[in-house]
Amino acid sequence: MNDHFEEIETSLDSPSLRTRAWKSLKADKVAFTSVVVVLLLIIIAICAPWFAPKLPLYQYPDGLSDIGAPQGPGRNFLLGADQNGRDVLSRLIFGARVSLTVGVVATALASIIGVTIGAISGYMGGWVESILMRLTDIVLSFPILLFCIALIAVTGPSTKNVVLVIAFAYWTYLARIIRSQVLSLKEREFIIAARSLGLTTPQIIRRHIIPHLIPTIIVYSTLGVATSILIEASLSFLGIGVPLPQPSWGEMISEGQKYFQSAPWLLIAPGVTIIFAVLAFNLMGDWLTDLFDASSTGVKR
Amino acid sequence: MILQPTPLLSVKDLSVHFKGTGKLVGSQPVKAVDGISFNVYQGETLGIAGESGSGKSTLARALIGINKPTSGKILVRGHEIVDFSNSALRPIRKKIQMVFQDPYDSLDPLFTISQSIAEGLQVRDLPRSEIPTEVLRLLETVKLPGSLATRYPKELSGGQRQRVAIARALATNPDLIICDEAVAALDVSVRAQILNLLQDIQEQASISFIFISHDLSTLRYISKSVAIMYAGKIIEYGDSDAVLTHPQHPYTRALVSAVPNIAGNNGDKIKSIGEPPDLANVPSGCAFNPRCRESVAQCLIQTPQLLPTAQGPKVACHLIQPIESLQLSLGGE
Amino acid sequence: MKLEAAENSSTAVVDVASVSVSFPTRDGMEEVVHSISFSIAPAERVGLVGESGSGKSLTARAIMKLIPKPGIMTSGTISIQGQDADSLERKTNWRGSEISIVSQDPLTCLNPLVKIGIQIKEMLTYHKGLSKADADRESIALLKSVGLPNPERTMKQYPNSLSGGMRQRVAIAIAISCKPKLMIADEPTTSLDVTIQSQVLDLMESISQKDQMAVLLISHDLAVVANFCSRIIVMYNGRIVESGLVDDIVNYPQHPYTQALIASVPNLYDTERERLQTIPGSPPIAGQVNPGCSFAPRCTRSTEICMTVAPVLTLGSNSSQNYACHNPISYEARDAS
Repeated sequence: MNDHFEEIETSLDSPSLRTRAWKSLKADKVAFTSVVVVLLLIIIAICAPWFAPKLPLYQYPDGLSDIGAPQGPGRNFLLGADQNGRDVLSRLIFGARVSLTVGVVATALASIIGVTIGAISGYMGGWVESILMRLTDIVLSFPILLFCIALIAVTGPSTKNVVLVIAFAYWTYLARIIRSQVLSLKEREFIIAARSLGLTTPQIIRRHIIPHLIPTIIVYSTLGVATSILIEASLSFLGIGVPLPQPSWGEMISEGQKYFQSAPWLLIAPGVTIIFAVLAFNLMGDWLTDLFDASSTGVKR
Repeated sequence: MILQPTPLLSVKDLSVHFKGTGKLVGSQPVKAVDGISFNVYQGETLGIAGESGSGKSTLARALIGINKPTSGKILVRGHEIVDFSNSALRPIRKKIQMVFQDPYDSLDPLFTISQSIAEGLQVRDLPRSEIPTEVLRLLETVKLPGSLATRYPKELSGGQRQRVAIARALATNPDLIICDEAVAALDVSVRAQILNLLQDIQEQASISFIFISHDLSTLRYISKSVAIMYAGKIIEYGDSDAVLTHPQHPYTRALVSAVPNIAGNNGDKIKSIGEPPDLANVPSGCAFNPRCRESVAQCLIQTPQLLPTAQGPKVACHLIQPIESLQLSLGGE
Repeated sequence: MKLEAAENSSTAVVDVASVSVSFPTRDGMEEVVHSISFSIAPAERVGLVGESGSGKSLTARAIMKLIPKPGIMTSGTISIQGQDADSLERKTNWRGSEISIVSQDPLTCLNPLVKIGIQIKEMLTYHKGLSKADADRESIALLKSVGLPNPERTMKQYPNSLSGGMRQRVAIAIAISCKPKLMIADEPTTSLDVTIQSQVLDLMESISQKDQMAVLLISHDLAVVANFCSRIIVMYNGRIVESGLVDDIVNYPQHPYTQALIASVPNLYDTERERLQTIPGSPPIAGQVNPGCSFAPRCTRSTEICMTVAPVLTLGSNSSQNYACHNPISYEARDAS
């Protein structure tokens, strides 16, 4: 029987996703800030040459003092210069381009693999599911770092490898989440109705299952970018990430720690940047989770 | 006895057993459907009555191909369709459609009404250009305004959604529609609308229905014949007026007398005791024997067969005299 | 406004006087229960019938003073045994001991993580101040009285291991543990099988007679209510549209909605199988306000005045039946006598 209270709630709850998104952003300052930061990062990454005050790779002679020590933050170099006279701010901005590109591409790749494997294993069940899930477990227990080192040893450092490694590490999380969602989705009556209409399994997965997974995919992709920024930074820190001379936040930290006593800005600048970037993506992921939770995909009974 | 024409749907000795999930080693299988036989004729409605744990929903799903039968036959106009993995049987299977209990979940919330109905049409290989007209025609058949075609399910009431579900089932031009508690979740005043609609559709298109419900009043109203299920078996089966106004099986009698009569006390109410059995642990012999006030020794040992009686309906009870001599000439067996 | 002339308000178990309940929405306060009044005499069994959006469940919650937030009671008073419920609130813990409630899904009032025994004993130790040993004994006696076959075992079980019917019996046991004067049963048997429903209703009836406990049975099922109660109140869109004795309401319904409701439900015991009468449209969403009578858009007997002026509950020619209608159905044969 239709519960009386449910009706009142749904008649109050009819605003669209867009309206609710806007309202919740206005109400929640933290969420709002995180979305702004993410958008800023994206814009900066795309338009890096327009934002960077100087060239990131050029070794400016006036970056170093007379005795060869890097200049601190000042009018000339807003965040200081590094041991080669390069502008830290410009390197950070171009590093954003690297981090975000790697993040988006790697996460997209991870999503495609993870959703495919998760959806198929969840929907089909049986031995297909067993095999795919065991595969997922094996990959999950892989030591990513060792794998990366081995890969680099064979093929040499490249951005492509970084993207592949991150995608390889991340798809498993998505596969598991998607699988459990699909398991509960496939019991819903509209799926059974689709089966009784005679739709084939690929048709059902494409038309009825995947669209319901989109909120999860969006949330996990956002969180995935955060994770990949960290992984990329870690790999670059270890020297097996994005190859030189491309500026990378991780590489900047690696260099910066050597000069921490004399030129602390070399470590602080990229460190703080990474923290804020990862935080922003994570918080935006939280906001999206809450937004989709009071979901527009049907009346809650 | 008049020999009936070939039934549209004929179910013979159908069983759907699930593997037991008990904690003991070698746990019992769950016999959700255990040796069921019945026929549905063109343009008629068969009601299937049962309480929870009777296996009626499992039966419905077995008929549309969701649950795989463990044994037995399902014949549509004489063609066997049990082998569901055979895609050649798809065209025949599409002739059986289902309307589900929960109007809030049987339509994909991300699909518009016309998209949901159109899915049924595609199964018919209708050319794209004809789909919109056909969707409107189907909406008219279920007495919904065409303006609802572009709406989403959440904008519709329960009764309206159920009509859309019926329209979608009709879109495939089915011969048989199974209604699994299709009105149970609707408001009382809306149920009558849907029941009348189903009757109108049956008259116009000569579609058969299997109406599954726990509500005997509704079943008597809408079905020509009725089968009473208990613990996975049919224990009484026949003309719905005969079965529901003059029940013979002790369970049917208890069930009928438990239905409240709005006009007041319906005479001697048979106080039923206990609850329906767990399908993983069905009592031996007659499944109803622990709750039956009239059970005798034979009831504990031997499972009774569904046999015709003098009054007409078939009953599975040791205490009721079957008509042996007429067994052979009964049609549809 | 008193409905039954013979009733003495000071002895009524519950007296609901002009109670309205509203919920805040984006467009302001929406009234979902409009100024309803009725009372329940001791040991009386009253049925409250309505479909979704009728406000019947909210009325029950209003009596218990447990309206779910953000709803509030915007007008009227609730008196329990003659005392205003608000002042009673400060003196005693009357919920559970004076009035108890049994709802449709016992899992909502039974904690799935706590054993049954503890939940029952809780009521007894809290309200009646019994010692643990006494509470134990009384709990087992209570479970036995509601027909559970193995009370000692049930005490140690969790709600999830019981069937729906047994859970409902436990809920009833908890509800009657402190011998309340009134038990509100909100769709108590809707999710149960019909044979179990019959058992549970019989149980409630025998408890009501034995302990002289009044029952307010809320249901959408007129047949259930007609068999169980002596008086019926029919609600539609937050208002009482008709009330009276069971026989009068069932056989001589004067409000068109009541009549249509009865005629739209298939009856197993009908000798003729007539086509069901339908009420066009759907029940209104709670809070929807129309000028005039809220049933008028769906009513076959509506006239001009019905669309503009809201009808008021008036006493019928048969002095115990009340209806709110401009164009009620009349029964000459009955009224002539």
